[in-house]
Amino acid sequence: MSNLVYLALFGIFVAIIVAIRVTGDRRAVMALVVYVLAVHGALAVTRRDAWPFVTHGVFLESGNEYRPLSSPRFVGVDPLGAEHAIDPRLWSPIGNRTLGIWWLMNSQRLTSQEQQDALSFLLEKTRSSPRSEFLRSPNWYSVDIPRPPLKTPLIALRVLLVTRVPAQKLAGGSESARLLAQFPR
Amino acid sequence: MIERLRGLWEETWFGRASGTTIVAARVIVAAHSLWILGSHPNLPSVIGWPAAFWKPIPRLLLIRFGYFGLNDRVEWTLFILLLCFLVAVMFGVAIRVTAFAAGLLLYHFGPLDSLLASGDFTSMGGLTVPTIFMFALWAADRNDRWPVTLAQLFLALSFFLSGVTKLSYVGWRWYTGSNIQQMALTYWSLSPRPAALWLAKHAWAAWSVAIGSASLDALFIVAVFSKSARWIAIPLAVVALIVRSTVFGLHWLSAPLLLLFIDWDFLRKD
Repeated sequence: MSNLVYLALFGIFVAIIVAIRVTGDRRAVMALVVYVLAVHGALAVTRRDAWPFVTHGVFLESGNEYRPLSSPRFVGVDPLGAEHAIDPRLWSPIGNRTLGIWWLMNSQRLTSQEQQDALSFLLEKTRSSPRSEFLRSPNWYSVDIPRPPLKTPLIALRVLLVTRVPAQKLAGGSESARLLAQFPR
Repeated sequence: MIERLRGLWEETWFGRASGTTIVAARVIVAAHSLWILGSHPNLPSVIGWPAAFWKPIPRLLLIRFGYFGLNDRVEWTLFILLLCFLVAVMFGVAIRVTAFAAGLLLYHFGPLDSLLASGDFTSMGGLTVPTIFMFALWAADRNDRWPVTLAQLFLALSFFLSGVTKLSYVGWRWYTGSNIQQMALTYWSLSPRPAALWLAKHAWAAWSVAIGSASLDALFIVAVFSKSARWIAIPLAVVALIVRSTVFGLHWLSAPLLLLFIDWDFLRKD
């Protein structure tokens, strides 16, 4: 339902734009400015985004060094069973965060076979070469540092839920990881 | 005072812009869009990802952005058309067709790399202002200033509303040194960037970031209406961009659009 409302918000914007083009009336331009401000105000109050009208609700959390922080991590497994971090550029054209959110939101809704299909596809992608970063825009959220290419082939892909407590990690503590899924099983 | 403010409003929205200003804005926005899209030359390929990826995505979300079917051949064609339209806009070719078409296709492709995450954080992709600007450029007369002002307003709102949401979610505490230190430590725990750890350990630096952020969020909007305010707001935004990238790994992809705040009339020969 909300997607229809957001589409309508954009449709009204385009309608005002067309009115400006057709009439050339400056009152239509004022209507556009008022509309844009009103929509942004309403979105800020309701804490929603309706792209391209957005309140940029990112980077607004409060820091808490004792709060556990969990996130999915995709790792490759070599023939000896060792786990390796995967260069996030290999998921191109989507980013690591998009993939992680997709997994958290949707993996439970997939059948076992569908999960395996998705992970099989991602494992295949790990065998390609990462694109060069030269002169390219980065992914907007790049917490993972690109790593040198692996010399060993990956034969399996695991999805882990990694949890860490910042203060404990600073004191030399490690992260804990729970296996969520693996391909092939 | 009210007369003065009214005059400022009038001049900002309805003053005449020089040809140089409009051409510069056109080139900046089109080149920026081409940079973002060219950095993901395989963007339409995500449509061809296995059905398992797309099955859980709400159909209405896809329809909202014009994905009535997931046909990668159609998407590749539209993507190439978008690149052609943007080049045409940059060179001022058939603006009455190309700018509108570019606006529609930017609306279509802008969210594509985040649709699998249900469209979250599409705003961070750097194509919000270009989408709006293309429509405004199409609607405006040749020397109208308002399309440039509208683009500047969208950039300014991204700071102002970011401040509003910080206050709404966390309160004034967000803008304190201790909160910035703890956030830096949190981001360091995700990715061990030396700059994050350094910030987490230096209270004075964290307070500088907090005060700088508060100033930027509150005052950037003034830069839309005051050229002298730009001398403070724009450098502050550049510093914020560097801190966010190096410490937190959050890259503000709309940064090149700060060029829209420069008065390009100094390039005129007369």
